Amino acid sequence: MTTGLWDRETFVENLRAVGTRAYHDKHPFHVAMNEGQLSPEALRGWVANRFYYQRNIPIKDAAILSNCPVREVRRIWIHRILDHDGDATRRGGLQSAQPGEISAAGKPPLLDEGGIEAWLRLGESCGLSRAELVDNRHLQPGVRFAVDAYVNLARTRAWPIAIASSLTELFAPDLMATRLVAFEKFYPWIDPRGLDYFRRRTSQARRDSDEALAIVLEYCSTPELQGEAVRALEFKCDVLWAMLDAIHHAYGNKEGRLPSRPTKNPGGLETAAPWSDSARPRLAKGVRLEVDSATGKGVLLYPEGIVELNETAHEILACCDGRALGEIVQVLAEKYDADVAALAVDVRETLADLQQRKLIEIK
Amino acid sequence: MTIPRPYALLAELTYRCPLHCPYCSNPTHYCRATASVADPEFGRRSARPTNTAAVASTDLNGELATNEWTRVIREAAALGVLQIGFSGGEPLARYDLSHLIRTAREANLYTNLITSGIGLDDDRMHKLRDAGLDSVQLSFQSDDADLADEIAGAHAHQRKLAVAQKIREAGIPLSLNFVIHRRNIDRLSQMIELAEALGAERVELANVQFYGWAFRNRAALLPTRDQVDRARDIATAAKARLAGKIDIFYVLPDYYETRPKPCLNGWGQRYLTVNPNGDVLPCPTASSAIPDLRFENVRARDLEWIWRESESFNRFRGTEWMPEPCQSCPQREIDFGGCRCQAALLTRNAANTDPVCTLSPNRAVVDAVLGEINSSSELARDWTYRANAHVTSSIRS
Repeated sequence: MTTGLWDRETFVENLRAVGTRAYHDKHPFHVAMNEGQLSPEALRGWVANRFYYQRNIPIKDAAILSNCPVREVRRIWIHRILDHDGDATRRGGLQSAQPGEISAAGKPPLLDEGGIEAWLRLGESCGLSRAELVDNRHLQPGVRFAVDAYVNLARTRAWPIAIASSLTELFAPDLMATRLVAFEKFYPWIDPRGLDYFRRRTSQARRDSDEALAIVLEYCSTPELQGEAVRALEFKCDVLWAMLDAIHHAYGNKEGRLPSRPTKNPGGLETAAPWSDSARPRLAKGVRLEVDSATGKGVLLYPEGIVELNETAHEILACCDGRALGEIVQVLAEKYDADVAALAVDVRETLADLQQRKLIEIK
Repeated sequence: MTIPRPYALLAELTYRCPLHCPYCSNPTHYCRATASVADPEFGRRSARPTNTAAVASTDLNGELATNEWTRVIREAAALGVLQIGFSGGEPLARYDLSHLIRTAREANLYTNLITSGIGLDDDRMHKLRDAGLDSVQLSFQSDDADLADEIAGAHAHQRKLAVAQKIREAGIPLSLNFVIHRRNIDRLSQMIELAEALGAERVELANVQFYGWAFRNRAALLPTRDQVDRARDIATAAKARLAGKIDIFYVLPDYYETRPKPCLNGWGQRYLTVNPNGDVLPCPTASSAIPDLRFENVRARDLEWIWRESESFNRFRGTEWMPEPCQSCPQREIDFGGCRCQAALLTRNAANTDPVCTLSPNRAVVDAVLGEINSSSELARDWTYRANAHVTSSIRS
């Protein structure tokens, strides 16, 4: 390999790019779930199969611990096992009080039951008995194969690579929260008390992915390890996608054809925002474009925030003064002697990104 | 160690305030001159001395004078600062506010006004807009007038509603800041509805963080675990429902977190605060929370020297000062060991790991507080209102 070491930003960008393309939040089964289109049978099928993943997570994390000689990493990582298996010394989700303490109200404190127990209660709320989940009677072969492959990766690969494979939660910090809202809204037949698992994860997921990212950035410190980390993350995305394929095949809409995932290089004109040449981009209300005197670079300033711009974005934004998109592209093409068609795509992509962050408006 | 450049300056123009909120983060020992909210002239007298629009330091019980603030603002811009927040106390109590905003705009700074809104009449609003004010963050105590006024210790709520309207009419982006605590957290849905009705672009539902008066009143303010969880669900649902329309930020009370907040993005890395009497602080609450730290004053030193060279800015800069478990922690440049003020308040040593972190040897301190709130059937309701000293001489004139 001739590639050099990526700086932190590039490394993080390359990890995130995996998620943009391949994370299972885009799987049609998930989309249907969050839009309220799943039948009770399909939802129960998902809960039962996903349980196999849940129950194997602590085994995966224990494999990582057993491979990791670094004490500082182990003491961070070990809480994941307790989060899933439960911990008699902790109260639900927050560490407080002594074991066995009796509260003033006379009730025993609610001890932290752990994520696996919470998932079993989700099952019960959906009409699945504990026995049905525990004995794997609904488990699809494809799901078992995918989960086992994930645990195997954690057992056999270098521990920083295994940790990198767990970074998938980085991609959708709001996935649990969205799911929680969708379940409450669309599937009222599920007892809301059964949704505690999702509530737990809304706060845990962010902490977990922050921690894992910090470890990966520090310990994947060679170009080879960085590349392997990205590939391990792709592998994990494949695991999650394959699980949903198998579940979709068994319980989903019977269309006869499995959904395909977006391909690796979705390039070309069709990905650019469909604005016509007459669209007029402007800075959004309250946003100002300035030059940072400390760096000489462009910055966007808005309430409570600052975005540092690269040269291209700065050039484009400097033209967003009421001029039409077509004109802006022409001006920049002449200035840089660039191909108009290619530039039209670049400009639209940059503006689409800024529009998503509500920094510009297009009229 | 290379010294970074600062991005934002918090200009605390005054500790005077017409409200008495029991969670104010201003120092508890600092009861400066104040105007009373019962005084119908509060904030209006600002319109009078327009031709002079300057405040001499001798008028203000030690508050920086107009010319001192303009120097600070220009020095901050030269140092790399891009954003300035005018805060307090109540910044509208300073009748040179529009002059200071104009000065900041001339230095190309982005200007935020952080206000209770009391004292913002039409005339004042136009002056601020014409000076180039970029955005306003308006605080609310609740959606319900009676509760809001009880919390503020003043009849303020109805006036705030009118002020929100004025800000909208002036075409200035509006952020609402609801300060959340045990007495109002169960009204989160209604607060979000109010924000929608007022046409805010951005809403912060910020649980009280425990510094200043809030630290003193913690037993009456800290919500229970159940309240916090319910509120988070409501905020999450609202965030999804209002996506693209209003940006909603829900800030958990950090005692309920397991890892500390990345306070200030690191000490002396991005932010600086200048308080009313000119002390320069790495963090707005540092002067009261960390008694053994000596702060420099803009009357004696220029801002660049203070930012780069002073002991107060360098004490916790970078990672070398960190104790274990931070020193060897892979998170050390993610959360920077948490909040120095919180470490000082809860462990009496600002150089300790923030005890919110479950890896901190002092986490038991936080757990004890949570244990008490979450197991007691009889929770404290009384708080001490923020004290404001009486109006003195020239302010009342």
